[in-house]
Amino acid sequence: MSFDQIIEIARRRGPKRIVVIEKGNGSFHGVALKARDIGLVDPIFIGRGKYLDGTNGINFIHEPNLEKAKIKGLEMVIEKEARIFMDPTPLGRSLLMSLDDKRIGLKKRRLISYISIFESLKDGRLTLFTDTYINDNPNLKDKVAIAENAIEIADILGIKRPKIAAIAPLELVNPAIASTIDAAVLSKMSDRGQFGSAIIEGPLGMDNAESVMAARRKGIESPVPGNVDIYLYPDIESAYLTTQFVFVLGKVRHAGMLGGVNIPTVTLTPLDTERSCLLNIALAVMNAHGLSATTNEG
Amino acid sequence: MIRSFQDILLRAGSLPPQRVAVLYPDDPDVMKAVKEGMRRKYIEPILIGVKPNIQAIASEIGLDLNSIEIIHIEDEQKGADFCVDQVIEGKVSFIIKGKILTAYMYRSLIKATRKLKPDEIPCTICFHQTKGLNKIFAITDPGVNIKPDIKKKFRILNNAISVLKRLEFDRVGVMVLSARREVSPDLISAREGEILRNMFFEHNDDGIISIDNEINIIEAFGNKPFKEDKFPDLFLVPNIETGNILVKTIDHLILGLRQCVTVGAGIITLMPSRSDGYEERILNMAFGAVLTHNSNKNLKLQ
Repeated sequence: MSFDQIIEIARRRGPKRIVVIEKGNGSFHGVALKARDIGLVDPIFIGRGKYLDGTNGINFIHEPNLEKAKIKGLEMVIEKEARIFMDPTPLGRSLLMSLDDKRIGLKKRRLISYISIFESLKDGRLTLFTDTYINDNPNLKDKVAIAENAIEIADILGIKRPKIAAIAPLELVNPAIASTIDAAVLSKMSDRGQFGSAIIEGPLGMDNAESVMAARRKGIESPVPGNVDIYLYPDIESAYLTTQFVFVLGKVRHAGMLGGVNIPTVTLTPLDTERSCLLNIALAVMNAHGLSATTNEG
Repeated sequence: MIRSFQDILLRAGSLPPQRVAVLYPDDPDVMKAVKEGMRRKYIEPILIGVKPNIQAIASEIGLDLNSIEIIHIEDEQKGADFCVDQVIEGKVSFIIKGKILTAYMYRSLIKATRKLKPDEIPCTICFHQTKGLNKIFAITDPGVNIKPDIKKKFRILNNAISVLKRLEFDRVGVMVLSARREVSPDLISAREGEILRNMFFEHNDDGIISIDNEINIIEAFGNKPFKEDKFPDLFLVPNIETGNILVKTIDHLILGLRQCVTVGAGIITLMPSRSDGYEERILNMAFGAVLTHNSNKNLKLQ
């Protein structure tokens, strides 16, 4: 599946009602309008920004207190007045806390994590990196949740049996290097079917994740090397910095999504551009539809 | 100034051959590269390792050993130590690592550096060339130091900068990488970066070094097109894990080319990876030739 196909499928499933927090500077509301124009969403803005008031065909609820606007927006999604929540301010702690706020009626299922998605330069396939934004030093329990969140997103993208590489600096388990131990345990959990039909292999160095030959030379017999859908990174420094090099130098088309949240949410990180923001919206539409991309549309 | 690996090959071709130590060349890929390196007059090799094995592989790939010195050493650590001593004594210019575990080489280099230049520490520097960027850039240290503290990072940067100077960079733009973000504004790597910037500000005698205030490339360029000369020449990674994963990701997911050297006390060791093909190994030698030639040309080591 490619991003073009994602947009196509999302358009067929759209438009979905999206509630967009408007800060008043209009930063990314243009993207929401663009998403409306191509039939992805039906936006309703809430927040500051008088200039939106009375503008033709734009739904706008005035709420100068942005914190209240955010709560109201989330409540609208919980009460099914809207299907998608979008906060176009850079993703920070306060939104993460709200997404986890039981008082608003949101129940967290798992740890919240971030998944970066891009079209591979090698074969154009949609490829996932995680956790590329939220958790600094996830422990093993966190990594289980991060993997499960990514498997869910992969499903939305039509990847039914994702192959996951638990990345470490080397392919041998070294008791002095925690990432190799975590990767080995995840891999064993996967052997026991604890991740359903997803396969986690690890620890894998980036070289053996990418090449069947390199993996075989190290004695790794697995369907994952050379075929990775999801790269599970050991920590934020390796994940966030590596993602930046791939996006900036590789100039790949990319998008991003929050995993582990209960309502389809569009957020922005410094990794985003206007272009990726549109894709983020399309992905949220797929998510809101609640079914995988391939179930109905084949 | 050298902007590409092609520039390295051209420059190496114009230099007199360098005398080099090849450690454990009993591998067909290594030996073939040695043969071609000699044909192109990049190197005059001394082969160190198990003599019968060296002879067997040489005859397999058709390399005439008559005019080549072979030193028989079975113990790998002793072999690595011997090569380092050869560089110290000025008998060879640099070392090419063959079929031997990297750890032996690191150990010899760490020992020698401690003895000769106790203020320095060895580090690995990986040079990358990617499509769409008309310059090579370097990442350090993905090889030797596992979790360097601030003092070690200062030494790593100094060491790496001295290597980049040998590639005739008239300015070395440095970025101290950190994944500091809105959701986690207090990462150690970011704080260390700030201290390093100050340390370099005080030690930047020749004005060649410029340390970016930005701590990663998205912060610097914001995912937008940028001017190539603004792209840093050297990146310092927070730890070995990030370095290892980053350099290999650039190889495989951005389809870049990579050349790695490990340097301590001015001793240059070329570290081709196991998967390097013939072309990469030739380029590796050219790299060594250019780096050591320029160090002899009285570009002083730090």
